[in-house]
Amino acid sequence: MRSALQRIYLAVGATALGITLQAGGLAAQDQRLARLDAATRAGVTVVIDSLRAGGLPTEPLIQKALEGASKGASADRIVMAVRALGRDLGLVHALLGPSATEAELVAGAAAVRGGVAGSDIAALARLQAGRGLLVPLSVLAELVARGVPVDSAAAAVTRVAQRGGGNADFNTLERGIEHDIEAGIPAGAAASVRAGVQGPPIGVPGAVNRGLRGRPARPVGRP
Amino acid sequence: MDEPELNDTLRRAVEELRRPVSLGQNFAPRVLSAARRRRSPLAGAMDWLLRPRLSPLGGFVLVGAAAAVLLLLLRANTPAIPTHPVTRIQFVLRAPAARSVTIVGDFNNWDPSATPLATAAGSGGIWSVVVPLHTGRHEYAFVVDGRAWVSDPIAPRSTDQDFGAPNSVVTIS
Repeated sequence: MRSALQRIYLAVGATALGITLQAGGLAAQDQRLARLDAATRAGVTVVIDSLRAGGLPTEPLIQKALEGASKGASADRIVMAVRALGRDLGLVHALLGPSATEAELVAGAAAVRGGVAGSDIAALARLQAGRGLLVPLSVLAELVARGVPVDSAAAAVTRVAQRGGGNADFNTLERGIEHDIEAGIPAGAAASVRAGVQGPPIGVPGAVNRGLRGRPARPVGRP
Repeated sequence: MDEPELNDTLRRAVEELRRPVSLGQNFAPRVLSAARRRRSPLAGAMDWLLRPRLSPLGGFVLVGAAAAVLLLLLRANTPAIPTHPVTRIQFVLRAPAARSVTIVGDFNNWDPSATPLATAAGSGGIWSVVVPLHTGRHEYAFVVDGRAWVSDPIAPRSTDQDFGAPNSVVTIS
């Protein structure tokens, strides 16, 4: 007959084993990926594991896969998009080094996706050393998405960085170019003009909301 | 008991002890077979686990291990607490004919049911919601009436179009 102590050993051991197995499963696969079908999940997991092994953030990949699932994309398309994002994140990580934040990597990957060359991103990183790359890279990506030629967009953003501009100055550059484009000026010309002319406004306090770049998204309390 | 009776009792006891014990014909093969039989590692582990011990410390160690694993499990299931500053952002869409509007993005796992926008009577179809966002570049879109994905008409667009229409972008620095 087993003693009470033996029964305790057995119960605790079985419980620990069960919990360990469950925790191991969770760690290996994010529960949110359950929204994907088995084939998609398998393909996405391979990319995620690869980036995790390289020390890169995996949350952007998970979000990309979930975006595809919510939009009803096919398995091939989701896996392809996740692979492409993983490749871009890896490239930017190699350019910026291990000190780059997840937000900077995501912004850099968006710029790469828009066609910005790795050499332009590396040059921008050197100019912005110690000042952060999130906003300049984001502005660069959005200018390209707005139709500004890649070379013109990169030159304009680099020019602001060379002047030692802060986040507000990059925001001002983008808004100025958008304004000019809406006024009918060709995108490339608008970027060149704004990059060349825009000098004095740099550093003007309160010129723009430093924490916000999308116009429709307003901090609560602002009109 | 007198001495003759004692001697008789001793004599019978000695005779009984000297009588050969019969072990049966199969005794020796059975003993050898049992000695050759190896115990499996699992049986050995169970023997170790169930072996009575004087100290209950082994039980405490197991309880501690189970508690540590449980904490890891809870941590895996709990959304990470943002370590970056969070900025509350108001998203607005004008959609007079819409019956419902939600926002999806990388801040709510692209879940169309997670973040509905509200509208007020007499607002002219202005829908809005406030979402806490941490530092970073966020992509999002509106979902109108549960089926139409709509970009924010006055926000920057994303560079990729992996799944059709481009998303809108907001960057929090």
